[in-house]
Amino acid sequence: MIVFFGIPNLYMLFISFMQVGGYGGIVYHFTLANYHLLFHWIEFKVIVDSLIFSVIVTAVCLVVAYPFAYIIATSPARRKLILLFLVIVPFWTSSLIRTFALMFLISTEGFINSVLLDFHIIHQPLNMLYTLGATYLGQFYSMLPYMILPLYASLQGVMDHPEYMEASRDLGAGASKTFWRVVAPLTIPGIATGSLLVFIPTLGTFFIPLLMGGGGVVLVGNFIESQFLAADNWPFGAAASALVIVITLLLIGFSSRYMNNAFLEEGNA
Amino acid sequence: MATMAARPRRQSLSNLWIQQTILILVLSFLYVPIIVLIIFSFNTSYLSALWTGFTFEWYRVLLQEPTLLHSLVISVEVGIIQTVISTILGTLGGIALHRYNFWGKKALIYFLYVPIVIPEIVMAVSLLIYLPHIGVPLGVPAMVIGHTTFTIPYVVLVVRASMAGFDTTLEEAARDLGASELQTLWRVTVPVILPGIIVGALLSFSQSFDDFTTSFFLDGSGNTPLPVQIYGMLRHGVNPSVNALSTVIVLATLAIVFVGQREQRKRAQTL
Repeated sequence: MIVFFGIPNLYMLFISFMQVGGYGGIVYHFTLANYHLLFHWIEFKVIVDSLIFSVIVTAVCLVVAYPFAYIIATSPARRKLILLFLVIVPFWTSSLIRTFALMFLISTEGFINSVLLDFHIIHQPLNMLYTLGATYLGQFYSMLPYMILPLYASLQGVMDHPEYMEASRDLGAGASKTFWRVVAPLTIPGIATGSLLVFIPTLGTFFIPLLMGGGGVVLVGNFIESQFLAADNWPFGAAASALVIVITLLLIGFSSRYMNNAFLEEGNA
Repeated sequence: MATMAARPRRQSLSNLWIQQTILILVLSFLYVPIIVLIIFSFNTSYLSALWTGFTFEWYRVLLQEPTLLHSLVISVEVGIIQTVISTILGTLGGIALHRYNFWGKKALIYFLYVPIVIPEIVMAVSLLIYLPHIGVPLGVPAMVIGHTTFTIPYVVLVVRASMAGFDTTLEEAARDLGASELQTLWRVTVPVILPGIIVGALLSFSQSFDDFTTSFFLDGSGNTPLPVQIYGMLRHGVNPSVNALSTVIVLATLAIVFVGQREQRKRAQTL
């Protein structure tokens, strides 16, 4: 019996050693790295930029995904199944390939420019790829399903109890009041889970800014990558990674108050 | 008090209109890029993104590309090895987490999610520092370990969900009939939750196969897996054989998701 929970236990211990070993080693050898990181405004700005980027992407995802998830949750069974399938496919499709699909659409010789030029709507190709806007678009495109699914799970939970909404209506609340005072508060766990699932990968994103931003957009992921692979300054990169971990854990700690344990205990992703 | 009787839910026409518009907008946003990509993988023109004619040329080019085939082999190799490991460990872990209560269980569950909750790049660079340090060479072994860290949680999730619908009296019956702990596990528990295990394995494989970030840091030299290879091609500009390759991968993903969903539904129906 011990074997059955001993194995994952040991495995997790193993993971913990990886992280502790990794960071422990770095901190041990180069204590100045963190100091360095915090003192240089340029590096600090990268972190601030990444945080702003992640907040905006998360907010836009939430605003777009919520009505969509609501529609799925209130759809008849068969339609719901099809809609869910249509969200799950991009969820599982390589985000590298989905990013490439966007590049193909908006690049200078891409589909949109070719069509617009061909119909003489424009005479010069629009410069859409390799901009900050394209980076936002790419990240948003990549993360949207991660917001829709937890929101859907949460909304479905509410819809499974129509008596809540009936009670609210019976007490004289209108549709919008019922939504804001009953449905929305009940879906806070879904909002928290979805926001985390979008915010955290966005904070660490690095190939989307590279491909869509064309090197002009540098977020903390790009910074870490360049410190490890180009500049070969591992301690510096590790210090930035440690900072990202701290931010992530703080966020998880903060939002776990709002998340129902379903995400951790059963998982709804 | 008569007004308290069930009031018919009014679904006004304009409301329906807004709903349809949102559905169409979001779904086309999700799908138009992918569909355009697929269509143009059959386009004859190398340079233009205008339709010039139908061809399978780019698929033929793909098959003749030795570096791509090599990358495919690497991806499949890493995918299969790590799927076997993560499925076995994840299944045992999922069963154990469902069945036993033990000290630190909650902490263990939180811990289990660390690799999928921490940004992937951070996990990848920590493995890049640590694995060579303990003697695991970069390349296939490092990628297998790296992928396993984030695929195990998915297997555990799915298996735990299957266990939730599992009738434990079956196990008790097996024990009463004299089966050992291991026999019960192998002959009773595993066959019953097999659909869940299969779904977990499929998810695990597709996550590994699609992974870019972890592989990018851990692949060493000469072991470039497919996504990293594609990334290299993308950095050199758009090229129709990438469209073809992407189409193949998207269709494979579609097939995996379809099978996975069907298995899950079948399971839901039999319970």
